[in-house]
Amino acid sequence: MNDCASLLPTYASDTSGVASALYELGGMTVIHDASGCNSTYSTFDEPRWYDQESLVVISALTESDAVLGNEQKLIDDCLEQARLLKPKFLSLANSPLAMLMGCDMEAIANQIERELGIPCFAIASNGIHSYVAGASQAFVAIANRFARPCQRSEEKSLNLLGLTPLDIGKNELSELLRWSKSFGFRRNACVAQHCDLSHIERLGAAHVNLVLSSTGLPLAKALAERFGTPYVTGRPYGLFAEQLAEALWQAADSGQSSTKTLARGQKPQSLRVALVGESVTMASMARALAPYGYGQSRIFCPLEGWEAILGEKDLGGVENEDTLADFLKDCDLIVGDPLYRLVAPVSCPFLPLPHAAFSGRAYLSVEHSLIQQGLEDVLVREGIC
Amino acid sequence: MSAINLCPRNPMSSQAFAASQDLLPITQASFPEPFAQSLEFNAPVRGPWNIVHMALQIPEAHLLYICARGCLRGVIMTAAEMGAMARLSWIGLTEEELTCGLLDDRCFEAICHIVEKLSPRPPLILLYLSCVHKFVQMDYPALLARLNERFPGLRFLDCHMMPTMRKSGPTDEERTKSKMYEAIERPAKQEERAITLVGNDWPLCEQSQLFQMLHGAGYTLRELARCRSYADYQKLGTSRLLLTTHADALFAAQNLSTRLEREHIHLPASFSLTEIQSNLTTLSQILGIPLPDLSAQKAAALNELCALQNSLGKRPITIDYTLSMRPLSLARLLIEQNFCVTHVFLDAIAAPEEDDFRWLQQHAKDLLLVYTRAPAWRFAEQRATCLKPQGDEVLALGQKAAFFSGTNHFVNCVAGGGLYDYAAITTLVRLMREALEKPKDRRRVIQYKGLGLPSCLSGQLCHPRLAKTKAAKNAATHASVSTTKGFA
Repeated sequence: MNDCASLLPTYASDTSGVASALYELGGMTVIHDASGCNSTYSTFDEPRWYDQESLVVISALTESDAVLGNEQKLIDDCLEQARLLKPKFLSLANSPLAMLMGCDMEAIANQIERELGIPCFAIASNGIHSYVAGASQAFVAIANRFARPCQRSEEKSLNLLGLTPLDIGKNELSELLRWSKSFGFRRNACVAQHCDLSHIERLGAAHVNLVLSSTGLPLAKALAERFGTPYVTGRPYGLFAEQLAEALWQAADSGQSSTKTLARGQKPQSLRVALVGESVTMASMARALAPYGYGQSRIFCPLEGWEAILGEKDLGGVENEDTLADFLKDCDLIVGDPLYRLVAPVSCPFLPLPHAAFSGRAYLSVEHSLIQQGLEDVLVREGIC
Repeated sequence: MSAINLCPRNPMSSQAFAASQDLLPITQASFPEPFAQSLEFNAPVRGPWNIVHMALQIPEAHLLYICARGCLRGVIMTAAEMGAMARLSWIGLTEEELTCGLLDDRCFEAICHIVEKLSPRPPLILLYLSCVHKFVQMDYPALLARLNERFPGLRFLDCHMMPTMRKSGPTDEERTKSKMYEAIERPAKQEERAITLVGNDWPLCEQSQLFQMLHGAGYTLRELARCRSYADYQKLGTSRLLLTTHADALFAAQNLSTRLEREHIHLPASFSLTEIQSNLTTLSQILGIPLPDLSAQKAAALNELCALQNSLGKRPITIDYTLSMRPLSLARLLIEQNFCVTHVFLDAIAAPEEDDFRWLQQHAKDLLLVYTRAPAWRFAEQRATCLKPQGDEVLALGQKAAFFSGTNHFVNCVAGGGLYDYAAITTLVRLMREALEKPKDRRRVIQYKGLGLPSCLSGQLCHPRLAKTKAAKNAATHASVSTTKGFA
């Protein structure tokens, strides 16, 4: 089996990804599930729960409804609650059992939309994939339904894509917003934090999209196709921030996406760093660590969305902890969520980067800020440089 | 709290909301299911134990969950926050395995892989399969037979995480409790002066009359919450009598009673003075031990209640089903003593509560029952509008009551907290006084998962590799409930 572990947790699932991506947009997300998905999401995967209200509910699927294929109950319940609570749209997400039942969620969504008169769409989740798969699809779906063609202003503007608390902590989000203002772009939209449906409607007005996590990459591609907006991928960690800003200007001026910002060369004789986690984050970290002598980097990404980011020496889409333990041998530094210490060689220096999609709320209070100068401060504090 | 646009700008009035049947005067409620089922909201109240907390009470046992990622995450993170990841493993399923007939072989291979790595090898593995296995008709007995052949001497229990069945037949918690006693071997000899209390999360309060009577008559009380080793766990089978005090343990006790051929008695935890007396009388008759004069304890309980009522006056009280499995029995006791109970938060009415429900329908016509899963409760404005009174004016009994009533004055206790008989009443009165005098940080407190257990959020914990303190190692090695006061 590919995915099994006796020490490490698993990442947040696609249903959590869907709920997280759409959380701030004023809709109602219904997970077609018996129980548990919502509790898991609101306990471990949603730090905004207390400070910002949103509707994420489950259908409370029962054994008899599952066995008999009673989908009418889901439809009736969605109609009843939507009429009561008046969300701006409905999104439906499948759990593992609903997938096995063969629920035609698109047909159900169409029927609800016809009867309710507000947009309703299904996300092809099944509780088997990671949050990256769920959030990516949700971002594309919401943009497909709400983004409208619009005029670009003369002033250069950008969208930040792939924002959810599963990938980006509260402090990092503030730093990102500050950084994005600092080099001359006007911010058009942040998908989807500090964001509402009006921002989604005007996504096409930006000159360039910056993809901050792999959850934003499919949306970037969709916007490139639909509105011709170029995109650049990466996070402005350490000195890499300058290269990223330059790539954004080039893309905005030329209208061409830059797919090579995260490409890494390998410098023999330099220090070796192994990075574990989401691909855009870790590739950005690898680029940012290179000036500190870590010229040989390898990334282990247990999630989806790595194909366009990782290189030959990296490993993507594997969540097996034995494979990971082998991967982490023989390096000078390991970077990843603190829980990865459990399989890391004890003697190897470890730079902990809490990742909510992995360790949930356990390390929310010890989040680092790595944007621009922040990285060097962290490296000094952790005794790495 | 910043509300997103969708929050109802004009929250429904209590009357309008009542029309949706999620907030009912008790006189209009039907037994046992007062509320219609629809989409469900999940209140952020994490103190009640789940199946991981319960199963980890078996010392030295290892838990192995096989399911899709979405279902695994909750159980894994429960163990992770307890610093108990060394006692739980998992296997994530893929679409291919679920749909291409590969499930049996792949599960077997993965289980073997995990078990081979466990060092030291545990004496017992609780193997949790899920609703997807059942839906694709996986052959559990065949899997167990293969595992038993491969690992002779290692005990596997086929446990289930099947939330689809929570409304039909035993719940996951009832099934887990039953399975937790299934690995107890039939002992060669039975202990005549020992009793096993089955299915309680919390150790029985030593101040209770039940405990005192057993102790006074020379009986040993065995219960899982007091076990410190697998050998202790096995001794649970040596007692001549099985006892239950909570209805959700009945399934477990009946199965154990049949298998070990032990007598079983059920003395339901209750706040009724009559039922308390009746339970203790039954115990004395069955064991042939003297029934002490309980009039002093009864009078003390009533005096405590009376004194508290005098100081509380008409201050509103709300109660929820997570504090005790007998919320209506508790509401009845308090109303009989002239307390002002305004709301009971529950989703269904358990069978043992029927008499209390009928009594309250007759004598507490203003009492409101609230369905805790209604999606509209997601909105603070809705709660504030429909669930008046709100705020620190209210004394809440239980975490959910505290959340819905928006008060920091609450009794923090789950699943009865090991309280029983007159001691339950006197202790509860003390806890109510403490809650009145000293408010708690509600938002922080109710987020800890598994009240009374280690949690990384409260600075306890952790895995030895993550926090190298002696206390952390102890917590990770044996995550069990404290036998001292677990309510905080």
